[in-house]
Parts: sequence; structure tokens; C-alpha cells
Amino acid sequence: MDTVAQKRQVAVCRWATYRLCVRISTSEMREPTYFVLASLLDGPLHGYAIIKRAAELSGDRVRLATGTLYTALDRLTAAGYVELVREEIINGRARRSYGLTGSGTAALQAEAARMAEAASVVTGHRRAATWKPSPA
Amino acid sequence: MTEPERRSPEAGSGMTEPERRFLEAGSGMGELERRCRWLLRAYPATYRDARGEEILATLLESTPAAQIWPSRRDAAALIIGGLRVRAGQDQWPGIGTSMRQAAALGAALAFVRTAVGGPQFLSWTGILQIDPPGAPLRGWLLALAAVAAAWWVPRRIAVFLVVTGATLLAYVNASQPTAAVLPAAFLILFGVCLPGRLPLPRSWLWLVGWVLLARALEGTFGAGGFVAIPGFAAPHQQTTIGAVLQFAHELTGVALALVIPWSIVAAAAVWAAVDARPAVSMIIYLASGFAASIVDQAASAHFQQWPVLTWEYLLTALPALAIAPVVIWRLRRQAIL
Repeated sequence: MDTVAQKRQVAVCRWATYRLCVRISTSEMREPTYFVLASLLDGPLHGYAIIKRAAELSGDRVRLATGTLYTALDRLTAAGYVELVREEIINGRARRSYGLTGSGTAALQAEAARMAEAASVVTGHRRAATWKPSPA
Repeated sequence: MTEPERRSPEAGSGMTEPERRFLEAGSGMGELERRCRWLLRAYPATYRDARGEEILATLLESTPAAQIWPSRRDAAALIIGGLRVRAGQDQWPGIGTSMRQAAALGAALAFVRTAVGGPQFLSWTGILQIDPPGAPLRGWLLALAAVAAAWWVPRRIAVFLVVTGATLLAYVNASQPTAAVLPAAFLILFGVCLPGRLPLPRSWLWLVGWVLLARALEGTFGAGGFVAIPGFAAPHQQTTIGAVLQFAHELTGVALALVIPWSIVAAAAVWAAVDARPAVSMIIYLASGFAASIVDQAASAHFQQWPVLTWEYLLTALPALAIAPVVIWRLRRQAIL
């Protein structure tokens, strides 16, 4: 095991100890964040387009209010997941488009993989052959 | 989609309704825009300069054509989002840091309460009251020293300062020594013993939330709370102008007595949605007083009174009290490595 991996393991152990040995995943992404990032997969979008796309992708479950969207964009920009790609002035109004960064794409893919793995526990489940429902 | 894309009847050039509104809104300020701009005032001016026009454009695009008011959801999100920016909670520092800041504040204020004495500290005037002279000042100074110790100075000095402060307070206010020691324990736990230094809040506006919450609690549960509405009397038999005016005056008094406390409670609730730190610090503040009274009651069953603190006590107890947390901290580090 190389030094980096060892350090990482020690860090994880300390982190786990701080949380009383209970494993709590901090990588879990909240649904609105997930769909905001997912809405940018096809390319940069401006604010209103992100709201629309996130609603489309989530089957209308994630309906972002404008204030909520910009709070999320501020946070995601600070985290390095999203970046300002284009700024236009249309009829005297600012229209900024945001795109995914490399780490944003990676975080999104990691979250998708995590959810797929969690889903496979249920979708890939086969009932044991010996199990039979008890007679009524 | 909840909001179907509507084609603008006059455009006929493939332009959707939101796009048409986006372009039209730039040419003049309509009712909707004026109201949205008013809501945007929830954000600080610097934030509005950077983001305001962009948020406004998105808001106008996402609001259906017939509406002249932004939706309730949008309005609430703008107000809470703006207040979060003002409170420095937009770039969330994480639950650990937030809770430590809240705990440090709650414990520091519990120190002040110990010095000022009694629950009147919760009252609006009690915060500013200086009676007896010197006691509140001493409390505030100790609280400031404790918070500064928790935030800035190295850990061991912080432990020493906090324990010294607590012990001195116990000496000053000998009727309730635990009221000083328990907040000290909270401070040591949250401000000192956790790894890393406690980062300073980006904005101190969140303290407003604490004052609001204190006032709301006082107005609800304190002496002269909601139950103490000014005397209300129906007009007398002869409806003279004087009696009507008297009735109006009393009615206004009742309305104010109900409206003002409930407004403060509502403001405190909104602030709790914006920033949980005041609520957490209030819980710690009240819990330390409650725990202190329980310990005092239990102790009074065994002792006639609390032992009077003497220099001998101080000289023997202080080093032990100062060293103990450091030893615990070192043992803890050994355990987790």
C-alpha cells in the first residue's frame, strides 16, 4: 500500500472514530443538487433553462424556485462543480450560462454509480428458491 | 411540466412566452419587475450588484404572463435566500462548524446570565440593564474572554482561561456555582476539545436571530407574556364620542399587544429557517441553566450550602481543572490514531 493510500486510510479511520464508528456517507448528494448538475450534462444552460431541464429530468419532482437555484449555483460554483461559461447582455439584461466542470462531472457520475449500486440491491434481488409463502 | 410553454400569439416566430417576457422586460419596468426588485432587497447590495439582474431575469422568465406577483414559493425562496446571504450561511460552513459557533455563543451567554443573575437576562431590557453596577460588565468581559479563548488562542491556554473564568464566576456568584461551571464545560467541549480551531462566522448578523428568539420566548413564556393583555372593556351604555375613542384606544392596545409579540415569534421562526445557530445556542443557553438548577437541587440535599470558595480551593482546584481537559484530549488523540 502506498503512502497516500495509507494516509487516506488513517484519515478515514479518524473520521469514522469522530462519528462514533458509525459510517455516514458524506458523498451523498441531495436530489435537487443532483438534477441541477444533471441538467448541465448536455451543455451549458442559463438559469431558467436549468429550472426547466431539472424539472423535465426529474419527472417534475424537482421544481426549483429561482432563489433556491441561485443559492445552489453559488454553492456548486464555490465547490468547483459548476463554472460560468458565457455571459451575454440581451436587451439590457444579463444572461449567464453555467456548465459542468471536470470535478462536477466526476461527482455526478460517482453519485449516479452510488445510486445504481443501491438500486441493484433491490432490482437484482432474486427470491430464494426454497422460500414459499406460508399458507393462509 | 407544470408550466406549459406558451407561444406568444403576436410573435409567431418560434419565440416562447418566457423568452418574449425576458426580452420585453428589458424595455421597461412592469408591476411584476417592480415587486421582484423589492423582494431582491432581501439580499445585500454587493450580492445584488453581482447577481441581482440575473436573478431578476430568471424570475421574470419563470413567472407566467398573466401574473403580476411572483409565486409564494419564489418570494419565500428569495427572502430566505437573501437573509441566508446576509447571515453568512449561503456558503454553508458545515454542521460541525455551525454547531460549534452556536454552542460557543450559548455557553458565553450563559456566563453572562450567571454574572447578571436570574432569568431577567432574557428580557429585552435585561440585556441592557446594568444592575448592580459592574456585575453585567464582569459577565460580558468574561464571556468575551471565553469566546476569544475558544476561537483564537491555543487550546491549552483556552482551557486555562475558560476554567479560570468559570471558577471566578463561581466565586462571584456563590449561590449557583454550577451555573458557571456547566457553561464552561460546554465551551471546553465545543470550542476547545474538538479538532481544529473554531472559524469565525462570516457575518455577525445571525446574532439578531438570537435576540429575536430570546424576545419571542420571553413574550411567550416570560412574566407578562401573551396572557398579560392590557385590560379590554366594551363601550359603556351611553355611546358618546369619548367612549368610542376610549374603545378604539383599548382595541388598538389589544391589537398591538397581540400583533407585536406574534410578529416577533414569526420573525424568530423565519430566522430559524434561515439559520439554525441561534436556536441551537438558545437550547444550550437554557439547558445549562436548567442543568445547573438540577445539580444545585441535588447538591442541596447533601450540603447545607455550597462550600465557600477560598484561595486554598482556587490554588488546589485550578491546576487540576485546567490539566484534566488536556489529559482527556491527549488520551482521546491516542485512542483515535
